Amino acid sequence: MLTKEENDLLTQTDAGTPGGILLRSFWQPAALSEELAHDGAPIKVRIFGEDLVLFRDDAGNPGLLGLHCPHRAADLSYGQCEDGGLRCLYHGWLFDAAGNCTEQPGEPTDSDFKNKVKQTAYPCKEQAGLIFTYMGQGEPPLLPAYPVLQAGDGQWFVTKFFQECNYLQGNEGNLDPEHLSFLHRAFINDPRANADVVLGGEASFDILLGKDKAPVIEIEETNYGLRIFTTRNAEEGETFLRLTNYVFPNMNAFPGGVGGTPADQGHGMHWHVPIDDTHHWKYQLTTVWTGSLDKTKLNAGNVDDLKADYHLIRNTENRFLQDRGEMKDTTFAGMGFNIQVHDVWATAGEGPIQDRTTEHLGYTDKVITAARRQLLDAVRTVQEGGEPKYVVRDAGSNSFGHMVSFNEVGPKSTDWHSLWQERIPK
Amino acid sequence: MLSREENDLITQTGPGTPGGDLFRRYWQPVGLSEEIPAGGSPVSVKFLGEELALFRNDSGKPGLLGLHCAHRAADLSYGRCEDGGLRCLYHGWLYDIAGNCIEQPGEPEGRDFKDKVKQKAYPCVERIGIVFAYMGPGEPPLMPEYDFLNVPESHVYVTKYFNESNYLQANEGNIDPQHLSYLHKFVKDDPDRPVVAGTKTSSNSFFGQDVAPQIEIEDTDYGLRIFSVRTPSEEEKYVRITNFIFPNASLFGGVHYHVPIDDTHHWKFRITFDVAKPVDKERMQAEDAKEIGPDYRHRRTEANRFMQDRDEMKSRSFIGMGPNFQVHDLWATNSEGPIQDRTTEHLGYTDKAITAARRQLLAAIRDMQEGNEPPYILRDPDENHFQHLLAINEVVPSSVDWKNLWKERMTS
Repeated sequence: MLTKEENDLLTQTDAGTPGGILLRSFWQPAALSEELAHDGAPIKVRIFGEDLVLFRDDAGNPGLLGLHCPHRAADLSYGQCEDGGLRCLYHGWLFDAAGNCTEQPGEPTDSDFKNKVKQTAYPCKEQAGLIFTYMGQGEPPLLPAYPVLQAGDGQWFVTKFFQECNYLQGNEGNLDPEHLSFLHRAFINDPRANADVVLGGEASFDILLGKDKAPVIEIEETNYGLRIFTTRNAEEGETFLRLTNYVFPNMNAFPGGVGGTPADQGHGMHWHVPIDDTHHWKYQLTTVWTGSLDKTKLNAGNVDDLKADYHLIRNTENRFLQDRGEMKDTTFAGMGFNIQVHDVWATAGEGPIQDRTTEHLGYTDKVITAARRQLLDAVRTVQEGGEPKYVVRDAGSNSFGHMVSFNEVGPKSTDWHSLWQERIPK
Repeated sequence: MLSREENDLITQTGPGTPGGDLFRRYWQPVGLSEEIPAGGSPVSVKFLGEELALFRNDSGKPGLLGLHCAHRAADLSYGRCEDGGLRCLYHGWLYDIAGNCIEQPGEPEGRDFKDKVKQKAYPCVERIGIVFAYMGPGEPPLMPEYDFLNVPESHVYVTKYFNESNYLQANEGNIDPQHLSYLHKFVKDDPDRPVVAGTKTSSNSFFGQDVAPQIEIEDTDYGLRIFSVRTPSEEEKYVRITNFIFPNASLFGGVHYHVPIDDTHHWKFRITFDVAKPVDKERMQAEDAKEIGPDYRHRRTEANRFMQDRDEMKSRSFIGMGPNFQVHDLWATNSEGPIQDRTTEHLGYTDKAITAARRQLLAAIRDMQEGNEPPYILRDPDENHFQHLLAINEVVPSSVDWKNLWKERMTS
């Protein structure tokens, strides 16, 4: 349970708010690369309550500018990408990706007016199918070398989901290992129940989740956030470990579910980026180190339920097409097999901004409590004018091989707390 | 750039606001004659934040009344036009165009209750297919005798367009001569585009040849005269004269009036006329029918991204939204937001007419706040002549004194 003041601190991210300053200290996804075709139209985006235009200049580099032209406020997202920048349709003013006004065709030739005009501009980097931006003050930090961002061509998959709720409750859902035994549970008629067995075990992931609904949950602090150990009883004498991570401030990392070897179960990451305080984008990233991705499986679990605008077909207006018949013997929630749908339902149902002054957190929520503590500590650092820890500025410490995620079954006697060190991909 | 307070002063026109008080002193278009055909239905309209019913009584005169019946507030725009007025459907109360309640059928005979009831009513005048109303206090001023309000029906095409933005930013678009070189530019010119007088060239070509016109303005007794002069060659000048008509119109050849519905919506009334000869109404109607529905609303909207076509941007129009200038202007001014935030803009040389018009608006508001009658209001018939309000669009030799050209072009 939080006080009203604490809840506001963590959920409000508009310009100038402490939470907004905190989140702006980190590189954040602004869009998918596929949304911004080369030689195509710019797109209108909104991040942290700011209206922006994302475009690709004629060299193909992405740029992120304030949406409204500084001249008379026309919408730059309709503009023309040409001559090294984005040109406004109203009077032809041209802006480069750094926000410099490089042409004002109607002004007298001896005028230096264009040098006095600066458009809001945020630096961008493109990696692994995402366009990242840094909206904070001063020199941008390094883009963290998370495993999921290091994959080679053909080894990554990204998409995103529109969510009608605050970003924080979206990510808190990821940090709660217990809901997998209910919200996502597959009954016998669900194909997920009959999927491949978990590494080292004899049953599928979903069967194991149903077998032990009261897992032991342990956490340890790391230099990226939290390492989360969830152990369940498996077959006689065996333990099922799921290792996941809270990645500060608005992400989590989990097994990608697409690889099948001890060394490579794939990496998954969810990244919850505020549109404004009551809407956010959930970016879904999946990679493998070896082999190629099973796109059919990934599409089935992700984009097949999405409309072209990355909004889910199932939503609050159609009551997520919940099917009470399906709830008897197929899925626990009655909303199909896609866990993205389940998560969107659960977190949207908490309200546009979850009221944390009336909640009741228990044992299963211990990761959420710890993550909030890290966030509140960092907010205080920001309020005192400091830079939050977890911001990466030293290239020497920009490696995250120790951010490991996997599912594994083994004898109870296994040293589950140190196993991850053996599972670091070589 | 304006202060927040200045921006509020010239964009807010609801009842009781300083800008609203100013607007109410000028005759304003409130509907098209075609919207209230004889024997037809009244229409529900909203102007300056006031809900009203516009109707035609059975002798053909337009009337503008408060929308809600003075009795128990039923909507009068559903009423019956009969017996010399507008009759409410709920209890049959009847109002004439002056707002008098002339019947209350349910009240006992001999009572004078109806004489105590007065419905809000604004005087109307009908000209060139437009109903104008005066929504201010006291005796209405004279209706200005602009040339375009005195042409025969065959010489004028009128219509209106719904606009989801404050009125001011839209009229500011009209008085900015530079956007013609971009917003309305055709990458490839249509062969059938009309040519500029005295040339074989379309105005579009001239706009493209010189994108940085010289712009001059002068104060007049109706607002501003705006000169924009482009130089296609050393021997010639392409001269355009357009005008700001205080407080919310412009004359550039045709006329646009931007009449506030409320602070974030307005009607753009379009008047296309020729003082000397009939205009081709069918062609203009056909052009509009491609883009505008029967409810006077554009089909292209922010919701469908104005159907912008990136291929068209390469091959035909600069902005990729078809050939109709009304669409281009709608996009530009809507995209500035419901009420343009003028505290963050950057006005340059090309915006000098906008700056001057705002100065006139702010001065008039301050004048009124000090208790004076605002400027540009006509009460003396001898001063009600506007031959000097005219538009010019022509190419002249460089030697011509273009600042005085309009005097030679005045109709007698």
